[in-house]
Amino acid sequence: MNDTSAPLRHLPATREGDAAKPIKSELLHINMGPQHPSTHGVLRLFITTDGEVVHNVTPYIGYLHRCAEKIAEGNSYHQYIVYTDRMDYLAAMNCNWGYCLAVEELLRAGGMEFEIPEYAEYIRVIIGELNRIASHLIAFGTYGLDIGAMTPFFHALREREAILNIFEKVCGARLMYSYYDIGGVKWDLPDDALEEIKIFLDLFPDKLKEYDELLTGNKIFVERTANVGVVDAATCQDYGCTGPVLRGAGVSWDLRRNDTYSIYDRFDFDIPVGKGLVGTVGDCWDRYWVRMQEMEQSSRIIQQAVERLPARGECMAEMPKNLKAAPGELYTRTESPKGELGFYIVSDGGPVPFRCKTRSPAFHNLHVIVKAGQGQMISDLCATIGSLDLVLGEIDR
Amino acid sequence: MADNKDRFEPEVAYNVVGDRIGDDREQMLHFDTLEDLAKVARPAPDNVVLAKVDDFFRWAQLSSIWPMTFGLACCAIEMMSAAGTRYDMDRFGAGAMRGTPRQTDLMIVSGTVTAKMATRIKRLYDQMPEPKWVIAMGSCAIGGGPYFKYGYHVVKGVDMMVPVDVYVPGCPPRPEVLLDGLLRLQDKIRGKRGKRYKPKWVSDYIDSIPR
Amino acid sequence: MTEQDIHQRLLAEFEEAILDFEGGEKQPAIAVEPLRLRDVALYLRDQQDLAFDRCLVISGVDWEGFDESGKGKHREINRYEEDGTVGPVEEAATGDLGVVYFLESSRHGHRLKLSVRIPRESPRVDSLASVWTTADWGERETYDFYGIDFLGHPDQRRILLPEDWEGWPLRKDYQMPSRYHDVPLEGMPYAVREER
Repeated sequence: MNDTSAPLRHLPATREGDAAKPIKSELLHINMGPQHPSTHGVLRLFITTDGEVVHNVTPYIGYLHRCAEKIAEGNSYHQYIVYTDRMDYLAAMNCNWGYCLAVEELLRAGGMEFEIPEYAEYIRVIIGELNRIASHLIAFGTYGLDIGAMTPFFHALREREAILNIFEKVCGARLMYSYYDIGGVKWDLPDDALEEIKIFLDLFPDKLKEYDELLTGNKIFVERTANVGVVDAATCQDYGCTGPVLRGAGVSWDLRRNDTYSIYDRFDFDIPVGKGLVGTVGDCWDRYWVRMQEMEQSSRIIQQAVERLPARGECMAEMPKNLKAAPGELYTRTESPKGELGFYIVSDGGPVPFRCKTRSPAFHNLHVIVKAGQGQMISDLCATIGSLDLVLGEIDR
Repeated sequence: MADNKDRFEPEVAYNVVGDRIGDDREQMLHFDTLEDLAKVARPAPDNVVLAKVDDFFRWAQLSSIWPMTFGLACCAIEMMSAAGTRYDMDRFGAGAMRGTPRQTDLMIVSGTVTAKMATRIKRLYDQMPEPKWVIAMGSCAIGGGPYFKYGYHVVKGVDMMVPVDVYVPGCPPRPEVLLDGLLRLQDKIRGKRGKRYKPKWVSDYIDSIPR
Repeated sequence: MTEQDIHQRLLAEFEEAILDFEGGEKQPAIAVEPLRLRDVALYLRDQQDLAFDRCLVISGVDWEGFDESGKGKHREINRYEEDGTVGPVEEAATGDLGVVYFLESSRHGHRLKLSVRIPRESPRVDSLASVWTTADWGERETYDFYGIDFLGHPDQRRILLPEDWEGWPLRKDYQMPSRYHDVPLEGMPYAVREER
């Protein structure tokens, strides 16, 4: 903290006794308002600072509250898939998957017997992991923008365009796919999509090396992110942080391994965990590094899935058109690129869910900024917010 | 438009694959002497440049529309892609995205307008200096989008808050559609429809592109 | 520990507070008396072999109109007229409100669902924000949507909706608003817009 009682010695005293007068300083209340140049979305941070050092951060959210949970109570199970896309719009396939899995588990718990074809499960894994790479690419690119580096953003967008090209071949849309359906996926993979995935997997490791050269070892980047925004494992667990935030703090917790769903137990991949290679465990650099490693592991999973892809078959289980889930309630969770995405669905036997609540990972990840932001400088706060990888569509639902 | 005698027909140039490149503005920029400019501006033999001052200012405005980064939701990602390298918005002059409304002409409202955010949108619109334009991008900004029903917190269209010049439909609209919306805004500023390029199928000329 | 053991432990400690138990390998569920919720939560967190140190999510539920027979004929919320405006809500609701907590133990790996039911006329329950910090914002969100008052919450105010919003949106008898201060919230159909 500044010593605010020391007089300004270097200035000459203009009046007698002037040099001995202390400086009066107050806490400044600044609003980093809902519209700001950073690309995270409409997030408002109310900061109380003493000069440049932050005393308190209060996030205000809700500027994108789109009433998704009320909409769920008015639309059928199939109709709601469209709204799950728009929650985490950067990883829309994973959100679709989480919801479809939740409904399928609810149906199974209610006694409906069906089996998702294996071909569909493999497609689900391939497309979900591709979207994980796409989401982490945006996290990487916009994090560079927040720090001040413009080049990685364009490189990331270039790879992301390649992935969006693949998605466009598969389901026709670039951003809001609604590709996963309850019981499988909607359409089969076209032939040229598989070829493009293989081409993408060939060129992606070189691009990862390129990104390492651009940002990971960059001295300026390391100076700005190492030892900044340290969140230790206990705080993470307490505040309910999951995903790269928790793994960056050193806890090896990944739902694909610890609470396996779908066919993830057949693939061989590592769970990257922050080790504090250039700073402390749990700082911004660790979270960034975990995401870069996860991209590599995702491409490993896709490689294995593409090799073991079974013969072309059905891509969706037999489902009734008018889907009615048996009465019951269930909470099902999946690992989205941001963390643990869960859906709590209550059904009373009708075609419309009685209650559908989304556990959004970014909502709980944002909560930790209240603790991590204290005592930092304002620009470090920008770096910390960027490393949490927030998507306001998911926070506000 | 064909019978508009004030309209000049510039020289046309084609690139390797047969696309017409350059438009009237670019032609006007490539000149060495005033006589060359006169030849382009008025092919008639009098060699006197009589462009209306109004047209000139409008041309200046439409060639350098500075948008404000006002991404609210998913459409913001497509706006970012439109400003990215593949669908470059900078070649239309609209690449200088500013964070502050005081230095911008264009507010691309990309995303859902909620009740909590609506007052801020109005305030930002008021802070923009004249002349200013608004593009409503995406179905949420046009009319509430998929949140029309049961959306108690969603304003059904940004034109409830600010006057909109161009509506770009889609959920989200592709970056090319946003660029088309930008071109239509340029038409609106110019007062008449500008030249458009006829789209070509990539498969026709993909073999001629060196790898 | 299996869920039966957890149930037996809780029954031994709080006999009458545990109202209902549902087994299940994925999600054992325990219904608790609202007055003893805080004691049960502290017990679940602090006991070494239970060690529920992670609260995954908190959700409110409005049980009004829940069709017990299982046919799903619950009352349709807010009717929409032909021109896009919302019809008025006529009937008053009488059902209970509820809060559901999902817990997990990072050490042992077991999961549990705690639920309470509170009457609609006086929706009050103890806050668990001091037990798990995840509950802090989760309870603010539940207050925001359902109007449930969490006693002892450090900062109970709306989180997703504006702070001076009136009404509790996710209740089944919520009347859709037509304005919020100067902001119009009703949608006009496009045909009407053309005429204007």
